Amino acid sequence: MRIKFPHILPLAVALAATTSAGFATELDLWFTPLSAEGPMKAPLTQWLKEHLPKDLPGITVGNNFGPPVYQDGQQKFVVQGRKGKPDVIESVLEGMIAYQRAGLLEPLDDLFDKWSDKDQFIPSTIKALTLNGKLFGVPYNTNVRVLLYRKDLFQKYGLTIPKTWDDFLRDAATISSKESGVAGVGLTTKNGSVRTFQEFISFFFEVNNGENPYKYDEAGKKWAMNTTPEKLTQVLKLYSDFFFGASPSAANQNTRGNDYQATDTDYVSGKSAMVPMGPWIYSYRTNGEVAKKILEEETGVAPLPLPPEGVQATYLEVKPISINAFSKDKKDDWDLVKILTSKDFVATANRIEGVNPPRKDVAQLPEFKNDWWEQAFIAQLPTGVALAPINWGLVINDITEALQKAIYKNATPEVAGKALYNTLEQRAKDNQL
Amino acid sequence: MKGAFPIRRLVTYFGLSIFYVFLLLPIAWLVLSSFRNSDSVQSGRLIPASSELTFQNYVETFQISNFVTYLVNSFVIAFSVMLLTVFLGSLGAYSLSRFAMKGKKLFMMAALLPQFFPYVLVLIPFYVLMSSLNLVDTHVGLILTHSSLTLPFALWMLTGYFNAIPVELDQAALIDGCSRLGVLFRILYPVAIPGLVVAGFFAFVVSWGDYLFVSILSQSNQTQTLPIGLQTFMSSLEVRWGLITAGTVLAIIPTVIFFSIVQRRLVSGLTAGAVK
Amino acid sequence: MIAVTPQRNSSLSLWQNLGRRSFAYWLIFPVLLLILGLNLYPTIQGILTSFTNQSLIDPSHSGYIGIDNYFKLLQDPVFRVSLGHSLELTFAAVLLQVILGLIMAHLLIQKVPGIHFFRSVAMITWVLPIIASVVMFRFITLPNYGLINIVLKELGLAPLARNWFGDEKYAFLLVLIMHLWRNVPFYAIAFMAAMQAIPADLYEAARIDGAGDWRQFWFVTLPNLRYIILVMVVLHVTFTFNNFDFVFLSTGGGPVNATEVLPTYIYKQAWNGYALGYASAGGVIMLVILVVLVLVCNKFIKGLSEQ
Repeated sequence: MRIKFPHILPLAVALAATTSAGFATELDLWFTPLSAEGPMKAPLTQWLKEHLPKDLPGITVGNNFGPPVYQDGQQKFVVQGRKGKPDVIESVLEGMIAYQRAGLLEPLDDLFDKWSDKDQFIPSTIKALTLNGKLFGVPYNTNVRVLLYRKDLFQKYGLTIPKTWDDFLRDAATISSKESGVAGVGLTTKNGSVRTFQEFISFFFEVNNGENPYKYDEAGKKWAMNTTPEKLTQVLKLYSDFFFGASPSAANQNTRGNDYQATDTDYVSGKSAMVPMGPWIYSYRTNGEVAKKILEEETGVAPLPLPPEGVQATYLEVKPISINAFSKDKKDDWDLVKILTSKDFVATANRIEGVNPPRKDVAQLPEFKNDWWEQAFIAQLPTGVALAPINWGLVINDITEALQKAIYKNATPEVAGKALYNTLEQRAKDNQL
Repeated sequence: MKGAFPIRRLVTYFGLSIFYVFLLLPIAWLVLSSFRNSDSVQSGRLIPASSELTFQNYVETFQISNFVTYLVNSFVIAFSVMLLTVFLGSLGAYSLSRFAMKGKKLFMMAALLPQFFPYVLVLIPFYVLMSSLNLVDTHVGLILTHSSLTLPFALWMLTGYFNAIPVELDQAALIDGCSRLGVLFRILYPVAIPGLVVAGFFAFVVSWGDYLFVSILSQSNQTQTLPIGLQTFMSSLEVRWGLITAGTVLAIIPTVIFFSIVQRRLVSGLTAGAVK
Repeated sequence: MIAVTPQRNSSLSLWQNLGRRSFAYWLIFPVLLLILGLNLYPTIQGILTSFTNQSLIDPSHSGYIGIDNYFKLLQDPVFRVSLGHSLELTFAAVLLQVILGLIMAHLLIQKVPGIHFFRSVAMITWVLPIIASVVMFRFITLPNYGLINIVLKELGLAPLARNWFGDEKYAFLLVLIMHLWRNVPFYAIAFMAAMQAIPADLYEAARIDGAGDWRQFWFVTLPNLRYIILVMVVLHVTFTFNNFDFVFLSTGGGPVNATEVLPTYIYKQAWNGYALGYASAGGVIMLVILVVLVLVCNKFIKGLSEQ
């Protein structure tokens, strides 16, 4: 039996050895893939064990990498960050924005500008991590949402890749009615789930000209609405149509309330024919023969279909590494940030997860350049839209709640859309953003 | 109610079977599924073929997760909470039961009061308090926290138990030269064993099953207990129910064993105070 | 209550007498310190916070705003829905638990062969971690291969099969059922022990008066169980009203707030929205409701014991 924690033991021993050399500072690092049970943990732990003593002499990193769930880490860092622990933190964009709002992050512009690697980073990813003109994190991973579809089923029923929402609904309904046990489309619709929100906002960006629902009003010094009730309604109508627009419906009504795990597994086990998805799903290849065949041979990648007069736009995910503003050793912190966003580390981490590198030199490596999956997603990166720097926590709850109202026929899309608009506007007025 | 009439027996068994099917079926289905391979779990059939039965889920549970660490943490914490609760609870109960002092009623009420505080109200100030005491992500922090949850019940129950023990026993011991603490340990403890067992078991169960406070106070594998492990298991395992069921079975085995040892005393102990 | 007054023993000096008296305080001090230190202090802090607009991500803008939070809460439709659910759940769960507990206890005191087995395994559901119960119920209600749907399909009732926790109409019912599943046996065991303590001659007297089973239960058993019933009710009103784990781990409050209760609603305001003042106000409202509920129950107990 192989038990995981001994992996950390040699690391601790190795780190302890460098400590004995003398003036070692110990840094606290929160890095979710290193603490969560997943495919990243063992290889990344191994990588750090080999590289840290060599690349960062005199610095040790604590062998606890924080809470294994992002949302958990976020909650705790916001409460305890002022004590200076952890020193360095990896996060998702929604989290980084919250930390910056709480005054917990160190601006990195000066350090970053002096770094010889700075031109390797794709500008859009750096821009996404720049809040109010200052850079608060360095990216180590990026991806966008695209449409995955089953090539074999499309061929079987003579369908072509859907370009518009109407095509999307029609093709999905066709598959639902013809292929037994398969839903035309799989969606994440659990309330409060970040993934539900990310899928919704991808469709919303298309409707809203590739722009966020809020815009900063320089004159009024606060956030203001940058959309209309009709546009929110339009997206809610799409969801409602997925579940009620045809009979049998495009999406399985029994999957309402599904969280991301169910969406992912349904697709790789052949229960849905199309999904809005990111590149991580490729790591399911190891799940079994069915998943491997679907992902490697039967899946096509296309841009998300467009609404009438919509623009090609999608949710851009960027995962940054940031420095706690209350940390004592910011110089050492920066050295650690540089290692965790270095060419070698980014390549190692991104290869395992199947996501896209934010570094050009990594994207040029043969295993990324010659990989059809990586390339299909990288081709879509320019359409990615970064989230506005607001406190998304409550907005995510509002949006997923409105979405559920629409798909549980609790309200018409029009009523739900209008109510959602009013709630979002009230949040801006009450300065809750 | 002599059970003489067969009809009456039949009705009793029929009623019992309704209750026990409802109570035990989810557990039985869980245990059965933990021994089925994943194709079998997802087949939608009730009875698995014998070729589909496997230990693989258990083996894999240990391979891919920190289950051993969770198990050790849960044990260390729940066991310490149990000991601390019984020890401190019996000291307090001894004091309330055997000594005249001012404010006795006030103490009893004050100890009970926090039972009515909504946990969600205290969580954030609580986290801030623990982090200023440097007790976040430590075993000690969790042990103290859980003990504060289990002590009110222990204090009340043990006070009732001690009150029921004749004072003459203590006085005889004191005259024989026994110290005041000696009276507690040598005289009261042996008589009150059922009560101590129940208080200890109750503390163990509360600590073993707590999700909310561990989720707030634990930040690393060092302190994560089984409920947190199960929750991350559930959200990070891509809904592989074979593994999730195996993990759940492993998490409930220790309480079930402990329960089967104390259950005889539990019934009398839990209700002794209330019946009087 | 029996108490040994510290003997005014003339052979002891004043100091020894004092030491003897403070000894009792030293014994109870650690218990009170732990209970009150870890609960009372944060609660008071929480009550104070409820009158401010404190936000975790905007620490600079914290100030006293009076009862604004309470005002806003009462206008928030989701808060009102959660409050309604919490009260409904508490009321329904406790009422059904008492009724089912009485029935089960009545079955458990029957002297039939094998009854000891039934008694001994009864409380198993109560000792399991709540997360384990939630896993079980999620697992038997899964849309494609959950036990309930499999059985429905076998019985030819396939159209009734559904994703139970994802269904607006059934999710709340499932939360209620999980509460019953965990707690009914505890009630049953407590009632059973109390029933066994009722003197047999009471029943004998009732039988002589010509009372049948039902009248015996109504006029002998039930009056003697009043105290234990109320103890269990107080205990479980608090447990159910405060419980966070069942809902949070099974549905997270959804679908469409169908299972949102006060603890999960407040938790989300605090940890997802970082709105500390607002969340604390919700917690204080919970505290007030609970105190009222418990005082009402306490009145009942007092009234009964005076009878």
